[in-house]
Amino acid sequence: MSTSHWTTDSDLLEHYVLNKLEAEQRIELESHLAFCAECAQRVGDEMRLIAGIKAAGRQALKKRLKDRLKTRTYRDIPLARVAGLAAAVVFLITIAIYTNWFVQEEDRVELETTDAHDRQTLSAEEGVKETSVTPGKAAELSVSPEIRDTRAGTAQGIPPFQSQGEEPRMRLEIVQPESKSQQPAEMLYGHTASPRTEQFAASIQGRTVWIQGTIIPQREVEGRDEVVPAEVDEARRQNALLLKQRGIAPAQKSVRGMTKEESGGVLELTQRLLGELPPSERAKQAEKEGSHIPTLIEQTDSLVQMVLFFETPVPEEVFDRATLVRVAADSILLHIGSRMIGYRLPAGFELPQQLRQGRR
Amino acid sequence: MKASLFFLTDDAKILDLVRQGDEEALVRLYEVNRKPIFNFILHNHGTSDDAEDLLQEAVIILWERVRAGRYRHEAKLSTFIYGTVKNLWLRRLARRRRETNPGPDSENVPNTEDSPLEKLIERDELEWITRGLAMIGEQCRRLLLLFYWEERSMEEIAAEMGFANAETVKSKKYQCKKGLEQALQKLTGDVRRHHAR
Repeated sequence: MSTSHWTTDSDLLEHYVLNKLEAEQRIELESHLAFCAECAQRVGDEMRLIAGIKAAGRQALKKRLKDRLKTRTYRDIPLARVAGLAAAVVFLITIAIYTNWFVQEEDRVELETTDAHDRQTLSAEEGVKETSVTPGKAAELSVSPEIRDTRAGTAQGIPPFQSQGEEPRMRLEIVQPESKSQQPAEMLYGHTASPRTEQFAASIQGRTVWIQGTIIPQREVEGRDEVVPAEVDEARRQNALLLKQRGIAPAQKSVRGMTKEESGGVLELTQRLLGELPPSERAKQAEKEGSHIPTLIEQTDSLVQMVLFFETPVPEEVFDRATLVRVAADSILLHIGSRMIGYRLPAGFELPQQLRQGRR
Repeated sequence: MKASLFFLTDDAKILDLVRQGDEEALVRLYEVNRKPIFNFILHNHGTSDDAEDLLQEAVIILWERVRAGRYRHEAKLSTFIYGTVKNLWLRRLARRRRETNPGPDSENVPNTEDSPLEKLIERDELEWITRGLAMIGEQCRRLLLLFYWEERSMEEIAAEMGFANAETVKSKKYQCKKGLEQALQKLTGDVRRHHAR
């Protein structure tokens, strides 16, 4: 084989550079390169070109690998430290669970405890001739821990509020003092929403909660030989003054009932029979005294809806004239005919702004 | 359809993926070997950047060998990766030592490493070739990479790229190579003209 300027043969040049030749042939070609600078130059160019192509391929692959690795995160934390962190997290979660349980338990105890403060008599002078809260009763309102979302139709046996259009229902006004200095009822009841309560308000919104209304025995205030504490007496006086200012309160009622047209449309009441209670609530009801009215309460952005379950239906004309009084940040009184039912709202249950302010 | 890498547990599956050209196998190799390689480099005066760079290099070397059919699966892949990283790191350490602490006889000892000027020339050439490959079109670029970098046979390239046969590939490769040379001449000519101004 001739070796004169063999580099002009592109195949041979490539085979030489790619080391695909036999050793004998390779030595023969290399002997020519020692005397042919032009051929050596060509071999050098070919080598650089092929090396460059390889390097370009490798560089592109490395870049793609880096791009892929960019999307992943790696942490170089020693195993001992990871174990320590894991233990700390478990410990904190345990504390959090315990604390949460403890706080809930505390809330429940708070609601069920009849402390001296809660035992104060609630009345409203003239308007309270028939309607006053017996000491010790108002604070017995309890909240069922069971929470169901009736919007999803999950409350056993209870259709959503919206589906009860045929039920007798009315909208009521909350009677509330105008300013803080004129809040005898609230002052009497002495409860305000705690920061914890406010935080919880958002989470409870849009859900339904079972609460127990307590039927409060009525008594005549006039003529009773009763020792009334001075602050209670003052509260009654102010409450009466307030009711008078608002044009509420003829002799027979503590607050004025409103027709549907008159109502602010922020609270709706519906009545059902005890027999319609879902089984779980029925069982609870059986354990309680007869003076409780199981009630399902739902809060939406702008509306509070309550379904009251009675043993016997309240006549429509009576139910339509029901009246609501807010006696504290977390307590309301419902007047239905001659009955007065007290409710302690569950923790975090915030009345809509309209209800809190009342309707003028 | 690509196999799910989530379930890859052994070397054989990774090698299969490499042979199929699935680059996710590189990530898998990187992740599997990351901890021992980082431990090795960090305990031998290196940084995490060194470890990352060398591990990527080793993974790519393995890829190249497997793709070119030059890898013999006699030991575990992790052993190959670890050995490659170790060699690369020792070479890099030796070079750094020479650079930072030249001995009294260093002037008489021939430096086998590239000089900074040579490195610059190499880097420029690599850049030119990368740009040249971008100028000849995707088909030519792919063909040249398959043949020269991945060392695939004409038959394999024909099958992979949909050419009629090996002869067609050979002919196409010739055209592509000529195209690359012309692109490089144009690029170097542009540079020369630019410097001449």
